[in-house]
Amino acid sequence: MNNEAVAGDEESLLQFVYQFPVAVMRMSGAGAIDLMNPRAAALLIGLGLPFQADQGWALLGALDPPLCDLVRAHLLEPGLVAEQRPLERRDPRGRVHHLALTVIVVNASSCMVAIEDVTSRVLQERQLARERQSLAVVLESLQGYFVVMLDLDLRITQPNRSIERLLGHGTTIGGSACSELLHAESSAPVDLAAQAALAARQGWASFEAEYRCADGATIWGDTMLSTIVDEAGDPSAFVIVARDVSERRRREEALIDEALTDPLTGLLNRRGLAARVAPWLEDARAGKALMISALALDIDFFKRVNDRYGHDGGDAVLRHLGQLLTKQFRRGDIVARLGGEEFVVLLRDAPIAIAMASAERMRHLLEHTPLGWQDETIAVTTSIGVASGAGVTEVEQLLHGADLALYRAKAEGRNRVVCG
Amino acid sequence: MDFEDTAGLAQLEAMSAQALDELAFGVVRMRADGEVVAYNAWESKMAGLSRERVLARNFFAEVAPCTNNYLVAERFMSEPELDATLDYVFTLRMKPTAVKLRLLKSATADHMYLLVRR
Repeated sequence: MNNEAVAGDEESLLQFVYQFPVAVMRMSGAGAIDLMNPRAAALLIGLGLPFQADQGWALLGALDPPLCDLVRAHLLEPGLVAEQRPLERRDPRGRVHHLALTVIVVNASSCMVAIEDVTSRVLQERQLARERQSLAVVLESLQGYFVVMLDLDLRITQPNRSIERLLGHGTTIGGSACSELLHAESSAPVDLAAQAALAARQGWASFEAEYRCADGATIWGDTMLSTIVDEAGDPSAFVIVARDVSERRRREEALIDEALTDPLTGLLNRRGLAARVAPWLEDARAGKALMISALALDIDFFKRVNDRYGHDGGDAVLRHLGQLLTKQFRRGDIVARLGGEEFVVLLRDAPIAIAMASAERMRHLLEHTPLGWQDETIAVTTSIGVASGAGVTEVEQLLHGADLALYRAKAEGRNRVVCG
Repeated sequence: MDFEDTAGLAQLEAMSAQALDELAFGVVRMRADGEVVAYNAWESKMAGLSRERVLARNFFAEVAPCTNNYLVAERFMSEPELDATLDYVFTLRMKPTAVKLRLLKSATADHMYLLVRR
């Protein structure tokens, strides 16, 4: 190798070290700084430290006295004495610099000191911490709202106080799928993945959802699902902000209930029956072979009850029958009072034999359960007409069939069940 | 000419690169943005950097990062008129070396100058 090439290599190496982005210097055990890179000079002079090449210890001592003592004590024990030791120092202009010091004792006569100016990183971290803190304060003080941070897989990334306060879920909810926050049997189920896909496309999606509380209750949330994008504009996370609208929702539901309910018996009215049976008919239209049975009930000689006990007595009997019907039939069945002493029960997926059997149980139950009313005992019986149909798409026809059977039951002497 | 010459800037502007090489102190001639136009022999020898590696480069960012702070680079960048002398440390071939710097700049001159004396 010729001298020129060696000189070129050396120059290249020199330039490489000139550009080192970390301040590095080497000093002897006696404190003489024999080597340092330009960044070290720029940093130390910028910090206003008096620089003399033979005063390494004084320099380190001015920078970080405890560290200086530590290094001197370790001069005979080579190794890493300090790693990224944080240090704050004000420069002559009054600006605070955050430094990180790393010191390696190579041997008793050689000690490497690296100084990083991490001011911008520290300030950034502090700014982040402040933002996190102010976010925490916001989440802490939010009333009637909750906020849920989600990753792209719709998992909850950060549990927070707003979730805990409104829904009662503590920190253990972190990492769970957000869908677990939703009430599984909501009357208005939400497809979270579809909403997220929409939010990813247009930036946001808004919907009302029923959320599950830790204690088993539910609350309704007017929900805004927003997409957080990264620098490239791609979705990187989601955030849900939901407002508790349970009160409004309950009022609305109460209004709907009122419109669909018979006030005397608490059973469904004609509109209520139509609303409840609609999904069954939809299923039938969708081709699901659906057996529906209808029971038409009527209190025998109801006019006599009214004549003898007055309208209050008549109403008490109607309520009595309503209670027995509610007790007798399942939650999934539809029990309605269509007016006067006219009651209807619709059973889903019940063949005629089962419908007949439950009608007979009902008839028997009423016959043997007289009503105690104002020191009197009112005994009544019921006639029941039953009709069944598969693939029923109009309920009127079925009700008509049950009515016809009911007339026959009356004609045949009442207090009996007749199949249409 | 001397390092302390009061009419330094005007004299330096009149000197050719060859003439700068005759001087017994370091001279860095730069454009307003810090791009090195001339780098004299004294400075090249002391820094251990040949001219080819320095010319047309940004002095503060690429050639001498040790000057890239508020004491030198920022003064050049922010002060329209500048004639200041300060004690400094250069790390020539990584050896910390006490030097005296003179910073010269004027709105009427095409170039700005950094003079270095041991």
